[in-house]
Amino acid sequence: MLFNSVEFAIYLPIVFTLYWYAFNRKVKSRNIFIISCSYLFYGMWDWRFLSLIIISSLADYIIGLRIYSNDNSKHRKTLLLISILINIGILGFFKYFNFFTDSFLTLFNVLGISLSYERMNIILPVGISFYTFQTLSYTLDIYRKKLEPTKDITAFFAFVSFFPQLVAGPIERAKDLLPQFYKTTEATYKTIRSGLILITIGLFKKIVIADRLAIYIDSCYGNIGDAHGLPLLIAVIFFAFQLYLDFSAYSDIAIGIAKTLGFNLSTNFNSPYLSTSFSDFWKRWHISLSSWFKDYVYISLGGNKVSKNKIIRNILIVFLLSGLWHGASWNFVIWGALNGLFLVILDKYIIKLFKLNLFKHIFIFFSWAFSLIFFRAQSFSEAIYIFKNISLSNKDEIYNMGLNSPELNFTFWLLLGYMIIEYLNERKGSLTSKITEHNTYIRMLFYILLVLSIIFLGKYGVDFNDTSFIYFQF
Amino acid sequence: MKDREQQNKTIKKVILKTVLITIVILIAIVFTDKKGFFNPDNRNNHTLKKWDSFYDFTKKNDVDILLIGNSHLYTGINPKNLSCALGVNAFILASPGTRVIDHYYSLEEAIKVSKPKLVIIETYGIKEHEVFQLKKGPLSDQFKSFSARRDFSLKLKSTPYLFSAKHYPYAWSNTLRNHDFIFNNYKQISNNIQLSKKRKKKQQKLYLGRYVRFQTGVEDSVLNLYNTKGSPVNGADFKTNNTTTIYINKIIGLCRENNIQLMFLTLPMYNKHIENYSLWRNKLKLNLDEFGDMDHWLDLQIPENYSGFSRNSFENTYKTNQHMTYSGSLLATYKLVDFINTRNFLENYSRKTTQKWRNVFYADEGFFENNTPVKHDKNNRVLYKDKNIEILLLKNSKYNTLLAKVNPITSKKNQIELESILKSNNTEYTQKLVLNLDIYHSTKSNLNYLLNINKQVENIEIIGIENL
Repeated sequence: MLFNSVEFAIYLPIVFTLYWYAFNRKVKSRNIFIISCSYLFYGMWDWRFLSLIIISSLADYIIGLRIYSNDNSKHRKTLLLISILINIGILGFFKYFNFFTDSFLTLFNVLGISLSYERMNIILPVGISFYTFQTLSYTLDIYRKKLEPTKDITAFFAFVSFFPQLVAGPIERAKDLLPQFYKTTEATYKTIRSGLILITIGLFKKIVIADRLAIYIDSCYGNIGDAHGLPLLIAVIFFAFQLYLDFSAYSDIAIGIAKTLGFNLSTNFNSPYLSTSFSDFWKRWHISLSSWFKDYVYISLGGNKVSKNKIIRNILIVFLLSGLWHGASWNFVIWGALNGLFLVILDKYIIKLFKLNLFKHIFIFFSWAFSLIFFRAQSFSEAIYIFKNISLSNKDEIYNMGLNSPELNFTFWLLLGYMIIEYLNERKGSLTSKITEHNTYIRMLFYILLVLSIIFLGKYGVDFNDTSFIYFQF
Repeated sequence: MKDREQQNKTIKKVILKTVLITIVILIAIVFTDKKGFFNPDNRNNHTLKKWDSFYDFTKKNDVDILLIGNSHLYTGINPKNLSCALGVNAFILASPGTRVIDHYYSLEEAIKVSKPKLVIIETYGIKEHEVFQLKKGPLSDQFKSFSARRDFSLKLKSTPYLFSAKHYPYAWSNTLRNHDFIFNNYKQISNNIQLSKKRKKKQQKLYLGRYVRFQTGVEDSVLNLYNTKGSPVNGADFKTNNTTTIYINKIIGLCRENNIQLMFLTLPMYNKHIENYSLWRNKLKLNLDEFGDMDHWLDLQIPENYSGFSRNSFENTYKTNQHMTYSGSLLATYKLVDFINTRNFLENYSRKTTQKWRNVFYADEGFFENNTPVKHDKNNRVLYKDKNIEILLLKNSKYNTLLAKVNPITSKKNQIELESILKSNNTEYTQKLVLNLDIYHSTKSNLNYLLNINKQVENIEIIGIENL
């Protein structure tokens, strides 16, 4: 079930109404209701993979309790390893089995050893990269004695499967989200209202902007052999915006839905294109994943408390793994490596040369956008082709990439307008908060105009290919 | 307790405000829909034209024969000729590309407006149908048919059966379906805004749902393709499914409940255009089993009913979907007339003697082929009449026509020569007029032959007939 679908538009009000009127009276029944709704939500994609969520949840629930009650460090480590094996094992099999097998075969072929095998047809379960990391962080925190395990199995299962963030994050930490399942939630008008506004803003970002950009990008990348010059450059820039808006839209909607049910999820994006360094960028982009890698990989490797060379090594390892997390392809690994190098080299030597923040923003944006060529391209050779063929030539073709002249011009203005709003949000505080301080009529007008703009300007329709959120593929 | 009350108040407030905003949004969408700002270009939307005409026609007239189908029907039957031959009001409600599920809902709405005596379902739409897999062309056809209907409650009831959930909003709202016109077709929006300011013009000419698209028949190039590549249509490929069976039975049930006679009609394709038709027919038979003796099915594809159809009766195409030409449709219409009369589906009912009916159909297409001009008609008169032949002179704004109605039993020739005196600009001259009896429709009841003559001719007098 997509957030931007008719089915979800029917599903959510029903869940909302039942939640507040029927199930939020007692904790246990409330949690069971959330689990049921979440499993239904997930099951509508593919009910077969519910078993994986249940296995992961059950395993980490039991292991968490065992780790906590065990004083023997060897036993604790073994239990943790089992948890890691289960979660990474599930993830590894479904996401990386074919990738690693193909890579090993290629390596053997290069060495002159010819091997072959029948590639398995493995379906990647939606959300697997997210919920496995979420449950793994639970056992890791217990192992590090930063968290006490829960005995409430329904609370734990609800924490793992909570549908707003189940399939594409934010990846929540147990210390933040799990306690919210120990008590019933309170319905405050302001919280629910802000949740609904977030959902609507998320839908605007997705349907009006990101999906519009997708048309241009898909047209370009779909006929990559014919694309060159300015259209290609525009597609590269657009993809940087599409990825950000698409993913942040999902996060907004997820956080908004959680708010309407009285839950708080963590912020996942904080105006990353207004960063003043690459280090700053990764504190603003996909915050839940960056912090996960920082806490459980970078710090485990020594973090900043080791030599400079080891710090660089640690950073590169984190980014290589982060790249691999995004996809089972060497392109993603290269993308991750590039961003690691940006952090290590560009921050230290280049960024500090810029005096004005605006130049920093632009430099960081374009570096990021060009690194995303590897992210978007289907293959390494395609990425290299793009690099070779980007230029300012072929201006006439820019209106032949799925968006005609009025629409392409409108898109540019839309992006400019969006960035101005983000800048104002950063400098002057949240604009939506300011609007909600006005009287009812102004607020209602704002909400109505926002929804009408989605309806009249959104990219949807019979001939429009249903676009799921980009991060579903991870 | 207080907390719970407060919570309930909060939730009610949220729900109320959300509902209010939703209502405002819906009003905005309904407004733009009603004004038609996002309507597609409806100049060639004859489905809409049919339903609009149907509603107009039934304000003052009852429909006696209702024909339902798709493009095969509206190109294959001439409702005016049908009406004039039988002395009834016949109407075609057909939408291109639609299947039996749509036929059922169209029928349901139509009989609510005017209950006919006889319903005729054309069988080309009785095929395998997967509602939830409709895309592009077939989906667009279904939207068109749905949009043309007017009964809100019946449309609401039929929505889940005609469309998958994700298409509901598009079925109901042109605004949602075509909002992209803002960027891709602003001219259409602009035209629609202009149109919304004008009053809708009422249709002047009687329109009963026919749509003639093809005048010329199968040409040699296509005949050669039949010889080299074979028939493009294979009856073995014809499939039905549960949906087909369910909706045929629903149509049968609906007609029974309303005491309406029901028959099925199969309009033909050129016999070289289709092979293994018997396989298709047998599968259709299974689905029409409810009828038992098949006496309510006129299948014009089978050899015994196919006589008279020639290459000129069919569209010049090698594509699988082949329609009939104007001449083919006339023949099919009169075969249908014979079938209805033989089985007495109308139980001898006729409006021919009623002035109201004559006012509707007089001098319109098909009228004089089946009826006689009134004595005081200056534009249309009988030139000659005996037991073998009746010759009429018909005048209209476009051309003058000689209509020869020949007794089919006595006529064996393929040409008639008429010795005639023509008057034009105060000059009289004798001329032989030749009617080529290239049979473009032949039935048990009627042989009609038309000859268009010079419009400048003011008067004709027949002084002799040869070769009859």
